[in-house]
Amino acid sequence: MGKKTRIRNDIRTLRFLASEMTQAELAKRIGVTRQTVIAIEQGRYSPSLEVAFQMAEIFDVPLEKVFQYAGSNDSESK
Amino acid sequence: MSFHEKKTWAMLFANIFVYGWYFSRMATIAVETPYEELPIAVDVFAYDLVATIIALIVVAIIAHIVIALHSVKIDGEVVDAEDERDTLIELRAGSIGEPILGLGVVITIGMILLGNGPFVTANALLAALVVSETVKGFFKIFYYRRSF
Repeated sequence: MGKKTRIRNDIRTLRFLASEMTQAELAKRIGVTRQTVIAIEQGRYSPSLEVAFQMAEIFDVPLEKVFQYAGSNDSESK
Repeated sequence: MSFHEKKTWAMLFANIFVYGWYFSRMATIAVETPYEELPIAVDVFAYDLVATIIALIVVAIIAHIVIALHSVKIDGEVVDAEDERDTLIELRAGSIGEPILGLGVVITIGMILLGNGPFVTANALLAALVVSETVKGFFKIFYYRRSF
């Protein structure tokens, strides 16, 4: 397993709620490969802003429902 | 495994084996030919170099066809488009491989200034290119596997 980024996501849950959308279907709608969706979902790759917004649009939720920055709580507490 | 990752594996092995054959031939020529006669060997290595390039092109075409036949298809179409992750991996791996090529060029310039002939300098330049491409290929696979 690869190194994880500090960006968490709820793509798996959102795909489930979107009539169990497959990774391949999501990849096709965004215009990336299924391997990229897998890498994003597993937190091994941080997508571009454009892909992130496209995902939010596809799931019809705000961006922060799809991605959360794991380091944001640390910086707020400082 | 994505289409581009499979292609990277194929070209990495092709580079290692085809250029491995080429450089083993060149090493044999270099060992068997007296240094002062090496410029005459230019004709020999030119043929081998052309054969190597043709072999690489043929392997690349065959690999592309075989990979396409065994790749994931969506609605009957092979998913071979390059996405942002492929581009980023290409750039990152390239940034590691390119300095090696640059170093090889500088070393080759030094070899020319020291009076080495076309046999040695052309092969040194080609070796730099091959090593650079091989390192780039290794790092592309590393990034595909590990991600970032």
